[in-house]
Amino acid sequence: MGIKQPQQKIYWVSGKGGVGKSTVAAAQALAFARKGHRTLLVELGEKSFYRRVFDRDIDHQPTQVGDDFFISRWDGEDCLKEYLLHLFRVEKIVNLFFENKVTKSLLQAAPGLKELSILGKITSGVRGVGPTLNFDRIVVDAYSTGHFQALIKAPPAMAEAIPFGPMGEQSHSIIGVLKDPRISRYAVVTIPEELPVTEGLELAAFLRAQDLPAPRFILNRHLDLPFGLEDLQPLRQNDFVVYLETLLRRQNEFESRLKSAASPLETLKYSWKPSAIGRIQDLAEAIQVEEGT
Amino acid sequence: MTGAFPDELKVIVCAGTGGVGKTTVSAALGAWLAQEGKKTLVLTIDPAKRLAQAMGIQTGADADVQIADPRMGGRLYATMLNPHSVFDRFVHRMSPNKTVAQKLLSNHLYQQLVTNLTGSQEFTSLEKLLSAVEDGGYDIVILDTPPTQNAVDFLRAPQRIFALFQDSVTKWFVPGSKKGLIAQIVQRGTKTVLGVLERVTGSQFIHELSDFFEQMSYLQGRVKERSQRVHDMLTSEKTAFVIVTSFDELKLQEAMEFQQDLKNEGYRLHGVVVNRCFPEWSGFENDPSAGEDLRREIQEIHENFKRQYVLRFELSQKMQNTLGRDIPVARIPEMTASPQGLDDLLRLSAKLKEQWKNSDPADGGPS
Repeated sequence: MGIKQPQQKIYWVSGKGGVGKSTVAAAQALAFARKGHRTLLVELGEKSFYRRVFDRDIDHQPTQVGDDFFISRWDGEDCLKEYLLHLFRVEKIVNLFFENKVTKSLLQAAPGLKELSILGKITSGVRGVGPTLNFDRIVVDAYSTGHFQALIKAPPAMAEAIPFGPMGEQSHSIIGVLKDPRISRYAVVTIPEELPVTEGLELAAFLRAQDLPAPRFILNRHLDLPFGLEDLQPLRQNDFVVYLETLLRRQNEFESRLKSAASPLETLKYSWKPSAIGRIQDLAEAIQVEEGT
Repeated sequence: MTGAFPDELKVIVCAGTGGVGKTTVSAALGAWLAQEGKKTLVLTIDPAKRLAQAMGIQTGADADVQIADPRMGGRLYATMLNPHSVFDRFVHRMSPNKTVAQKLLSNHLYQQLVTNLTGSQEFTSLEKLLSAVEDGGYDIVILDTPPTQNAVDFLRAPQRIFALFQDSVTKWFVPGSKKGLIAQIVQRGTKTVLGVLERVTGSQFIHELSDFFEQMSYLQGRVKERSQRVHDMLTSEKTAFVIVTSFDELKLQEAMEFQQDLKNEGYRLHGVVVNRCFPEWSGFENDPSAGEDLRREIQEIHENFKRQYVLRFELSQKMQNTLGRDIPVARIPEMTASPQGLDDLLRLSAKLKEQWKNSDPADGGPS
């Protein structure tokens, strides 16, 4: 029986592919864990990214990787199976359903079904449905922009296609959780470059259009240079300096563009650590950790 | 043509995960081939607005647009894929008659399927690719694959949709299929599947689903044949895969895994593009015009960049060694801003050409 988790908060992390979303999401989760929150970092899809980072097998059931820090990898099929088991309670029926060729095809192609199952699982603690999800904080390394939008659109689309039955009801309760600012927080990760910034801003507009809480913007890979463009100017004969100038100019441009559209803007300093784990630890120290409700 | 692309080539598939510059590389390849005299089509899913503007393509528009720049000699064309219209055209083409087509197009579930991102982008890009190759009259077609978390997804996704058209699936929902004992077992299984579905979704959905599959069953034969043609096209000797990745440890590792996947599935890899490489800059120790503090600060950052460079360069070397001498790895330097117009694309294609000509595992490397 599901046990409702009233204090649970869900952090959704998205952004254009290549901006360091997974690293930032892990850093956020680690930061929460360090503050004593029992935290679950969730990655989506069939292949694990964090497996290589933490050198552990990452699967459906939470794997502990640190104090108060757990990671799970959830995909549509596993989540749906778990949900149906919860609904029907008889394992035999559910297995028969899943071992069926027809079901497999349906699951792969059926619009929104996988997305809905994943969202259902992520929000199950808050809604008190399914196996207990005993965590204070859930941080979701969600898909990059396009697929993330498809994920968010699945419940309303499903509610329209199938308004009746448990599926329809679940869709509505999931939407409720996504919209509740006390529970769901959104973060758009970007870097000081054209496409990531544009897509990030478009993503924020999309969230607004879906009536979801406004996201916070995280400008990742920010070069905190102890000098400015004026200092570099006289040194231009050096090719590295020219490169630094280009980077700095570009960074300044996008930083101000973001600040005018998304205030306050959180910046995360570029980490030079050679390992992903090292970078996650660096970012965990700098990233904002909200307290209270 | 260059060593990387033999003359008989008809298709180039640019594959790789999101965020590596696939679209730009696809467009640059297109510009290169058009300059070499080939009538070229670049199929792209999601170009940056400015790149799209430069190439004259817009969302929603369905026709292949000819790039007007005189340097292209009227040989370069581009299209932005529109899943909706590709699907609709596919249904019309595959349906035995207009009635079946109409019923399917107006089916609620079908409409959801088309707008759903998962699988539909992959399916439509391959479907459009096949159409362009067979009917478009192009010398060569370049496909910029949709962004996926995992590059192999692109290759597997269409099979899943094609699977929906198979006998084992469609016959379940078509009323009146009865064949004795086998049917009994199947029926029992059907009851379970439908029972579960009905319980979870309500009977309205079951009606929609039955109707959907009934219409789909009429398309079955032609879809089967078409999906076989897609597979044959992808594994043909006239189809080259190009892996696009970037100068980043994780992306490089992903690319190495992906090239193994391609090999396993029988696809032909012709080259790898490592995008956005930064160079090994000359040192900064003795510039007298900088104050001591500034000099030290810049030097420190230079060391940091250099360390990253070495690590990434070594990974790209490792990849070249794994691939062997026949498959060139092009290291493309980072540009100051994201490529916006044809000038930038031509600059990029010149670099590609140069790199692929000179690509040699024994060459280069950090000092």
